[in-house]
Amino acid sequence: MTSQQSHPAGHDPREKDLFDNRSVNTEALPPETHAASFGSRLRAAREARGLDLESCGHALKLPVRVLRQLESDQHEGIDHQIYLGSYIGKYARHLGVDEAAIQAELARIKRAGAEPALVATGGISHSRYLLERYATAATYVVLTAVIVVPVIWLGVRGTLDRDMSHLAPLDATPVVQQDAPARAGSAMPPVAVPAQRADAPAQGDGQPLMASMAPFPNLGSETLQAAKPQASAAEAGSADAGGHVLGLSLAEASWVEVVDGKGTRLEYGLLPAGSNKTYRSGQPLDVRIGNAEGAQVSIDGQPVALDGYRRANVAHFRVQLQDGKAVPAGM
Amino acid sequence: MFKKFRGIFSNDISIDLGTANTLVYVRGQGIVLNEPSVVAIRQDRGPGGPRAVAAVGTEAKRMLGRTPGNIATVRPMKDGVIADFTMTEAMLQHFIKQVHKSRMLRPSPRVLVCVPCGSTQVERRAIKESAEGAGARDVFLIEEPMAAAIGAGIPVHEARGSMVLDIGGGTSEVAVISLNGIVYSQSVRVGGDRFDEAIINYVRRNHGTLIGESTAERIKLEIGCAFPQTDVKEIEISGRNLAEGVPRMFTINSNEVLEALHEPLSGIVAAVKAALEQTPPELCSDVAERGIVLTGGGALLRDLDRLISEETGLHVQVADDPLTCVARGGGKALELIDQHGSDFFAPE
Repeated sequence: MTSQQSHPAGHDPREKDLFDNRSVNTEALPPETHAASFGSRLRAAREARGLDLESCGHALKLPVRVLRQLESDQHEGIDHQIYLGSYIGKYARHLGVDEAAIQAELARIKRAGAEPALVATGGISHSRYLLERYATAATYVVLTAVIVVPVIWLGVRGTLDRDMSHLAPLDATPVVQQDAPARAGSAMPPVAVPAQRADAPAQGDGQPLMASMAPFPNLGSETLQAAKPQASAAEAGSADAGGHVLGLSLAEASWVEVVDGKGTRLEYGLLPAGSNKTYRSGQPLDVRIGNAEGAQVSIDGQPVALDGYRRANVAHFRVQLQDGKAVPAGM
Repeated sequence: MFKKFRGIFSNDISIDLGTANTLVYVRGQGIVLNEPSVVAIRQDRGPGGPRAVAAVGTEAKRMLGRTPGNIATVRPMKDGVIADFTMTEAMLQHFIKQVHKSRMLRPSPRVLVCVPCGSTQVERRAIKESAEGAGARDVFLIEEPMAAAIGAGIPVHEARGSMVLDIGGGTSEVAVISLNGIVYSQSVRVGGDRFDEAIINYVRRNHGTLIGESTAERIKLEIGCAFPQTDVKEIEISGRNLAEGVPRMFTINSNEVLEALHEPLSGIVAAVKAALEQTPPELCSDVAERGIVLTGGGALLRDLDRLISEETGLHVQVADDPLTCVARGGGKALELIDQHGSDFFAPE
């Protein structure tokens, strides 16, 4: 800091004031220099002032080599705008070149020289950076896909792939699917099952039974009405063959099972209130009635008191043939 | 998660969080904000009452030294680092909002903040947390000399030494840069604020008059210089005469200001000389050939380049638009960080 006090500007005769713009002498230059390059204008200005490169370099604190490059318009090594613009500007002002010409040259340099691009050195490559940056996220995505997609696929395909028409209620299936083909005198008509029966072998035994909210097979009056002609036909067939007739009249809904001597179920299921059924058979019948209080039983037209065969409210008895006559017997 | 979502609607920004001014560079838009780092706080219902931000930036600076009892103007940055964490956060939040036009969502940009190279880990952490508190999604830090060099257009990636001197409001940073890294750096807590202080002290000592910060800054901007001038400029100012206690007008000239600035300028020159002494010889030779580049608002002080050139014997050039070099350099660095990660310029 002391030097600024002891050496004020212009004190050293060798030094020209770098910031002194008063001595603009470009008008005094030969006219042909205006058309020449800026480097040659610098040289002409320097020679017109009688300065040498060394004194200019000393005043500007720049290497003589750089000044020589500027005068010969060879800017290799100093081609960045920040340096080149500063060197040319200060050198030209030092030589007293016209300020307008300096500004024009600086503007040209600014236009020509793009700012240096930022270049990554010594670091990781862009691809590796991206890999490191997104590897974790990609791992999470892949793991999620591996776990979640199969679960969703199983969930969707495992349920929707099944044909809903194959479902059968657990509580009705035995009656309609098992007994209907075998029996001849059953009162239960094969009303709800033609399609099921056709499909049943195709499904295979592996098809699980599933609980369903589907309504119970229609055992109401319509079914019964539809069943009556078929039942009558069955009864007629049985009567022709001989045997006894078991009549069942239900004032209340009751679960009923009727099995003949061969083990064939003639009836198995819940019958609604008001049901009247007759079973003809030449063989003994095992009868089980779940709600004995609401049921009336007759054998060959003779009413049978169920009290003797009841345990709680369940009546269980056998219709036997003794001397050609059907009689009830306890079990 | 919500910050990430909001980040989709936010622009990446680079902030030159300076002691005197805060500049914000938005990627793709350039410098969009240049405001003083000043916050005005209103405190109603006496001490202990609720505090609210009354004004930020230019408006707050206009209030500086002219506020009533319930309003206080605060400069949250001091010597290049955070002096008031809450106020810094409020100021950043205000500036981030200001540069985002959308009012639907609170902006959550990625932010690159320039920090002095002499700042401590604690100070850097404070700046980072302050920016995060202001809503930033990710915060990167870059040292100011590096950002200044990039903004000035210095080819920092070359295997050649370049010296940059960034004179800010609170600190001056000198650094030698090569291969995208800082080889040597030194930070001195001398900057524009110290210049103002020096002028205030000079006027009090030699004119017996007390002047404010704003007046001192006006003196500096209008007739301040770092090297003896051939034409002496004068300015008429007013202040409170300490002997009489009443306002008085008086005149101060540029030579007096030069004398006032002698001490802080000596600190800067000493830092540059120390850096040259510490620089490895190969890089020192590069610096001798290329010269020193001045950036920062302090570089606008008249003939500062000439002073440093005389003192060091090196060529000195002032960068184009030196005030915005740091913010512009930060914006460019953001792009490189986006491509290669934050390991290049931002040691934490």
